[in-house]
Amino acid sequence: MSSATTFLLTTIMISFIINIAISLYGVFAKPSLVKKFIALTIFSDSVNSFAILIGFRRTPLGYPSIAVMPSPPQSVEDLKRFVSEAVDPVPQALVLTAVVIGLAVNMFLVGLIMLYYKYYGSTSTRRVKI
Amino acid sequence: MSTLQDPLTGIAPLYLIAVAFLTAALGLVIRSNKFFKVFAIVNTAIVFAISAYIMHKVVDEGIQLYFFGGYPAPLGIAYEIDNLNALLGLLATSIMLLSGIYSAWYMNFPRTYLYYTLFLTLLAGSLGCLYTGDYFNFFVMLEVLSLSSYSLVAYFRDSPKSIEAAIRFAFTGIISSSFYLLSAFVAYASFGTLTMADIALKARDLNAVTQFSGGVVGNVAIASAMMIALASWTWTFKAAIFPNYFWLPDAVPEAPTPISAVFVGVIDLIGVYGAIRMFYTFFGQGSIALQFRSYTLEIFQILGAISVFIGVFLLLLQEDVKKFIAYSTISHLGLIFMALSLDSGEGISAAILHTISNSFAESLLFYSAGIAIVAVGRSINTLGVLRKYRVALAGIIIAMLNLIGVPPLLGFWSKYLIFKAFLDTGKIYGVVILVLATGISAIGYFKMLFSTLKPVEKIREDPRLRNSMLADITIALCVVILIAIGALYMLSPSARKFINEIGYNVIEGYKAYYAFLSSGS
Repeated sequence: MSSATTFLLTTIMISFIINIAISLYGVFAKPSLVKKFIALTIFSDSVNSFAILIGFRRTPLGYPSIAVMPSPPQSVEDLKRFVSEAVDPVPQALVLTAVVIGLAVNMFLVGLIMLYYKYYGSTSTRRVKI
Repeated sequence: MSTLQDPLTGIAPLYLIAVAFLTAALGLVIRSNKFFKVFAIVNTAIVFAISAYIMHKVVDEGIQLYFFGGYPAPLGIAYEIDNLNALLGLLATSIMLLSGIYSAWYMNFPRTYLYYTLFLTLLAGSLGCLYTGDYFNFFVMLEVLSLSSYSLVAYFRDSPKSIEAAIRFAFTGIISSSFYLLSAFVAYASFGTLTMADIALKARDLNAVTQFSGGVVGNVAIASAMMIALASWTWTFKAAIFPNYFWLPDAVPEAPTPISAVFVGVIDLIGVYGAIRMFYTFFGQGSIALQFRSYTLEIFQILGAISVFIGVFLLLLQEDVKKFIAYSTISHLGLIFMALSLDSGEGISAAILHTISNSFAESLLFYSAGIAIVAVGRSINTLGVLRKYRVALAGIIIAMLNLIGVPPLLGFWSKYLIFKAFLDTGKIYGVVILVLATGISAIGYFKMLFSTLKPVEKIREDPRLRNSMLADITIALCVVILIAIGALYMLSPSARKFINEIGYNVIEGYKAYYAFLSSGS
């Protein structure tokens, strides 16, 4: 039943790790500041998608389903079923915060890169090593 | 418990962020630089008073808790302040206050309100990092701190060099804080909580049940090892330890001088604090991650030793006075990391005392050399201009003596404590490194002292040089603080007991950190 889900999760985990490795390579090895910046956004996005993955719950159905709670909840059993099926909301709140912070950081970096371009006429860091 | 909270415990970072936004808004209306200088000093002084009050309360009543919005700890964000936090918070605010006074002398540039907005945000971020008891909130405050420090490096945006330095600092800094974020997600995935106290409890008792938080999931030992590995990158980055030391000598020379002092005095402190919390409060004695932690501490010994030697050797080669001070900081932080990774209470106390001594002394060097930088430039050979500014000259001499470790000053006592901690844990190589580092760096310090004797002819015309009273006040205050703390440590048994207690509490008294979870709220 859950072997497909396990396979999917493993694939996602591996691709997540590969993503982080590639983006770190991009940040440190690419000479262009814009490419470094793109690699950095890939890095933070893969970290954030890892957090979304944490919230995943294995439901008795074997696949994610939309959890519905009858309101008002009829019994304790209803509540328990809802909690076991619903996606954990905390990682999503964390990711929301992290994304907003990332937005500010990215805006700042883009501003710096534009200033750099204004002074040197290029975004390459070949002359000055980072 | 939650009805009797003291609002002053939690208010400082929020107040500062509100004031920072207010400063940015007022900048559109008020054009006077003087107003913003006074405004920033007053607000920093208020926060200094709050942190002194918190310190007083912690000494009197023990650990202080503050639950934001009244939500009990594992459910909401909590501030948890014990001896360690309170002392480091007081240190951070006092250095920021000194830098605030110094900025009033130094900053006669346009757009001062932007500078003060970033200055207040930087203080808010560092206080938030120090006081928080929530693993994720630490990340948010770390980003507040980091973002304002990147922008302060780029503050002189007309100079291409400072833009370059800021880009280098920002790229590496963002990666290091993203690693921390990843470690926070790993913590939530396996411990089911983000409250520091709850993590500390569950790392020791896997079957612990806390209200409002789930049990542990999966292989917690691997998760803790991942947390340690990922977050260690952040601690070594913030504290400028060997593989991640390069940003400090790069960013410090381009930042305004008062901010350079903050870099060596406050930002490094966050790394030291984070490492102590992680290695002793979360994954200290009795926790599941003991084996991996002891390997990491061994690695920290090596990294600390390498950065000590990088610091002392590169210090001898520097011609730029700001880079000189930055490398000197790196060597002292290496010593601090060696002391704190000894896994003994004495080592922690020594690291804390050396952090205090190092923060004040390196900031004092920046404040004193700042006058020479305004008058002539950043070359170390033109420090002779300080012969005209006696207070600054005295400041440089006191700071050097403190860094070398001459007896009545605080630097001697902190080096003595590190020496004793190395001896008591049987690590003789530590003693050798300490003595060698002191000896080699003393050559550099004497070179700097010697250059203050050479007379300098060409002095720039700068309106700031006519009246350097505020800078003199800062330097004098810093000198008095260094001498006073040294004398206090020498004469007062209760001060010695307090410092020893911090180390003991961190190592042995970790249960007090999460005691509030079981008392029911």
